Amino acid sequence: MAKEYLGEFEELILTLVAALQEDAYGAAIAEELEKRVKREANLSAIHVTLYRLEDKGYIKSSFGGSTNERGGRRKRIYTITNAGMAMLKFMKESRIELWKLVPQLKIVGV
Amino acid sequence: MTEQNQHLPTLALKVIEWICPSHLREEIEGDVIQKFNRDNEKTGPLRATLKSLINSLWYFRPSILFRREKSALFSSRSFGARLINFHFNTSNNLMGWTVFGIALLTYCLTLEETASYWDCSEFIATSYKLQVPHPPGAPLFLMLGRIFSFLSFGDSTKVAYAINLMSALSSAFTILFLYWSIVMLSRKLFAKDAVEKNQWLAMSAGVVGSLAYAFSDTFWFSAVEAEVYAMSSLFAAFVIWAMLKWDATEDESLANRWLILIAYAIGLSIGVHLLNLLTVPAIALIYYFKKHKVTFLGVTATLLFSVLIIFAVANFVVQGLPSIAGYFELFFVNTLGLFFGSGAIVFVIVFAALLVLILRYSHLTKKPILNTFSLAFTFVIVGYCSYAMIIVRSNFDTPINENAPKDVMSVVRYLRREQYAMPPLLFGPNFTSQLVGYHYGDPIYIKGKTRYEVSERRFQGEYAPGEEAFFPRLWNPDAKDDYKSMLGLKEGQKPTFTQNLSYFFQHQLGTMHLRYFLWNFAGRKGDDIGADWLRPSEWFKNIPAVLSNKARNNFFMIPLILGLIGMAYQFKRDIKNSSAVFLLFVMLGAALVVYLNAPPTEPRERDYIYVGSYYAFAIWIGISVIAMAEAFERYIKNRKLVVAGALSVGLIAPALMAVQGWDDHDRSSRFFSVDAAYNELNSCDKNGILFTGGDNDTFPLWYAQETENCRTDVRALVLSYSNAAWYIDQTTRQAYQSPPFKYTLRPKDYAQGGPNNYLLYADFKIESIDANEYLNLLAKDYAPLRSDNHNLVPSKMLTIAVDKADVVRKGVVPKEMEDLIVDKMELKLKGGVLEKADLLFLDLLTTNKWERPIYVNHTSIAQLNLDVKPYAVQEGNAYRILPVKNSRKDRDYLVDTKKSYDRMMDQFKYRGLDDPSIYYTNDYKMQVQNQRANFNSLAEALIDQGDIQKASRALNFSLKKMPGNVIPYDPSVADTVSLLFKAGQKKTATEIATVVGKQSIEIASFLIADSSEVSFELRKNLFMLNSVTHVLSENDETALAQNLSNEYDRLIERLQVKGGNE
Repeated sequence: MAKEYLGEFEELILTLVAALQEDAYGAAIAEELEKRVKREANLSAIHVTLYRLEDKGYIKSSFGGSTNERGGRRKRIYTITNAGMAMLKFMKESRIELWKLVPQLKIVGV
Repeated sequence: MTEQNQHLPTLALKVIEWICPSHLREEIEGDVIQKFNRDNEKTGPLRATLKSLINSLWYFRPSILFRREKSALFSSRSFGARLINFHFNTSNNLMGWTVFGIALLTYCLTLEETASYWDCSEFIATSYKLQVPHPPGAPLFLMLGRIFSFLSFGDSTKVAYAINLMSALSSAFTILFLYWSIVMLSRKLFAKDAVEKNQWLAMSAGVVGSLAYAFSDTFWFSAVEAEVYAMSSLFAAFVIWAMLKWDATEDESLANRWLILIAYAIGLSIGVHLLNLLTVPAIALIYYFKKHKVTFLGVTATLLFSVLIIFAVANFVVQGLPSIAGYFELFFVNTLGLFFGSGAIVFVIVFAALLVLILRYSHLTKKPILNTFSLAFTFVIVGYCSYAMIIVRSNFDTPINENAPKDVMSVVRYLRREQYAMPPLLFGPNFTSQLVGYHYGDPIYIKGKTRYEVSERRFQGEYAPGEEAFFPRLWNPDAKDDYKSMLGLKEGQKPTFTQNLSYFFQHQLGTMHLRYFLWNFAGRKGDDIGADWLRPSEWFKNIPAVLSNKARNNFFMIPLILGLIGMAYQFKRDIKNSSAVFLLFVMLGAALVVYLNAPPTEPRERDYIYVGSYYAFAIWIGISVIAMAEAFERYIKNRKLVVAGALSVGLIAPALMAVQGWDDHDRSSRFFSVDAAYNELNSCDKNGILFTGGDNDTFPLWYAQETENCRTDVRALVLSYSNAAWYIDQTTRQAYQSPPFKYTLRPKDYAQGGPNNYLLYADFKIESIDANEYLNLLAKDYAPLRSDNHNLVPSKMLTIAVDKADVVRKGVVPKEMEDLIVDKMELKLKGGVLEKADLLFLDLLTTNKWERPIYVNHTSIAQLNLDVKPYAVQEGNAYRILPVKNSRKDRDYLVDTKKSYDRMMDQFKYRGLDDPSIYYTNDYKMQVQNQRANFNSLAEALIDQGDIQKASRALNFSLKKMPGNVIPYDPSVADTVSLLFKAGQKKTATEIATVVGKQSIEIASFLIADSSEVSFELRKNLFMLNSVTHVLSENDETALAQNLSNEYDRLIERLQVKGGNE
């Protein structure tokens, strides 16, 4: 199997799963996404991405507790796997490498 | 915070339930609800709801739909493999809609394009214009039918098709719910941990069972015509499915909502057909099994309770509530002197208040069971409210307004179906029981000027002690001859209890129930009245081509055997649900037989009544797939192969049923049911009044007038209805182009329960009495004619004086008949009685003084108690009553040849009667026989007048439009052949005689060899052979005649030898 790459949205979600730790589930991720990155995404898009990441083996999931706010339904808590962590690190490093190639020009007028 | 007082994005959750596999659902639902709640705080409920709904729709994508549980994820990742394994809910839904599609397509392809026979044309006419059909009406059906009629987009000839389409759609939905029900019942046959593994097997069972039902004879028949049975089946199927859903719902409060929905569906179904109530015992049993520990006592109590519910709804809700409203109304109007309707209004307010109080009380005191049941009851009432349509429309005086249920008292009678006599059930008289008197009960009220007035009293026959017996099955005195020949009773001999029972088992349960059941699942011999089921001895018989019948369907008993296997298997595995299915089977089948207590002969086959029990049996046909799979498993290891094998064997049943049944259920391009009505209406002159015999003969005329706007100047009057005051009252109003009728008698003379209900003959020693004088005496309440509040007929001969000059001036009599005009018409009493309808007929005839043409048809002329035949002149397909007398004994009727010729040749329609690909049943064959006979009498009259050319043209036209290769020659053919000879058409005559001779010989010799019974078909063919032979020898075709005569003798000889051996 060829080395897999992550899409931009996948990367965002994977990062948030890593960041939110025990509190990484669909609705919470949607909220964080909105709060921090100012992106309003459909829950369905988030779920599909989570499943794809799970299929690729970067995250795993288990059922958490239920709340009244969720109509008594349990959360599915996602946690990042070692493979996922490695992928995130790899991506971060390659970004930094690339960033270094950009000439450090001053923004005109500042 | 519980779920009840929290807002939920219900619609979005529904969408998710529909789309998402169950293993993802909890997570997704939770997230959606959580997000919805937060959005709700931020932006308010409206936007939050909308957002959640839009979001939920986005889940409709392959990666969600086809997602398998994680454990199975890595085993096969190809798309194909995922497709096969994709989630059960989705595939189950898709499969359901696939069988729905197959059924709908089948019904659309075989749909009747116009109004079918029997009640269908009435239902179409009353749907299209929201009118009032015969009691107990079907208001919900009518209103939905009205909506469907919009699909005709203004083309009134397409209205029938559009309303028939409603049945097709209802039936296809029935198949959908049946499929889902079978799948749910099948899943209960597996151990909990094996359900997932057996999903495809459960679905296969669903496919086989639902398709078998879709292609079953009786259900298919109702699916392609505008009768209430298709929609009634849909309600039954829905209710059963909903109960299984209730059973599968764990959450108590959600489950209770299913119960309320079921109650609402039952309430609504009252507005279609009451049959649906019979599903209640099965539902109650499912309820009991889930809620309680099973004991014998418990089951018995549940069944008794369910029967109680049926009676509560059928008697208390449907009849009781209106009756109570009736008492209120009487009290308020008659006693307190308030306005009409005041009592009903007060009752409605009191009743509604009572319901609200109970609901409120049960809610406040937190009594969930009382709350659920009172809510359910309320919803039954809400559904039942569709009957408001009947009352509202009746008050608009619609042209079809049967029983005119306008005021509270007449509505009560309408709902209680009082005009129909109910057969005795548990205890009552036998047909031999002698009446000793009448027991008069409560009065019947009709609306007067300011109060309700008593018109007559309800009465019941009283019998001498010992004349009534337990479980009377042989009850109908009108059918005594049939009972006698069936049971070999002698005149005056009373039937014993054993004979009663043997009639019940052999005739009612056997011929009139089991036979129909076997038609559906074993095979059917043909479509002749009384056709047997196809016994194995018939399977490989070589039927001569001339006797071939499209309705001969051979299923080799395969559906029957599969159903029995399925039944046995379900009983072994799941006694609870199998008992529920069994209860459905019995309640909608044998129990109905007991209840209806059918007379020995019926005007048509009544299999449609039991369609619900075939529904139950189809469930078992489906389950047989699981039984077979279990058997196959012992020999075949590969699981997929096992399922595929069981499915393929199971599919043989519906496949056979579809292939065999298609040609006799395909009603496309058939129009003569309506064309015959069109022809009958067009037989009449402008503003004619046409008396018809029974209502079933008249419904197509109503259809043609009401729906296709055909000849609305003609008034078709049902003779049997004309005994009812409400019907006579309606004739005094304009109906479309038809002006009101004028009478000599006053409305009170025609009143219900008045002096003229039944006029007995009394010997006043008067030779004859002038009809006009007689009517005037009746209108003056002439005392000597009264006996016990009833008027008498003083003579057996009623005369009508004829003003010859006036008749000639008015030009009502054809020129060539002017010398036949009589000074007075003499109408003889056929029996010893006149009915109100005869009086009405007489009144019209004398009062109208030949200004409005009055017609009878071949059924009403036989039913009138006055012999008008000598004065009936054939005009097309109707007979006009004219003051001319037919004195020729060898001619049945006088014929107005000009009008008849013009109408029959130029105006009448005969669409499709020459197309051999169209399927024609007996109803059509009979009507064609009448049409052919009318052509014969026209040709005969033309020959009498010496117009050979026209006669010959008429005969050839008849043979061309209604050829014998499409509708087989009938006994009228001998006359046709004879007339062809007289018209000089020797070649055609001998050709037809040869064909008829050959066919009759072939059929008769087959029938003689086939069975010892001298059937109607055999008699008919021998008669035709014999009469054609006579015609041939009369016309010097000696060689051919001799030939046929020899064959005839040989056949008779064979018949005698056979008879002698028996």
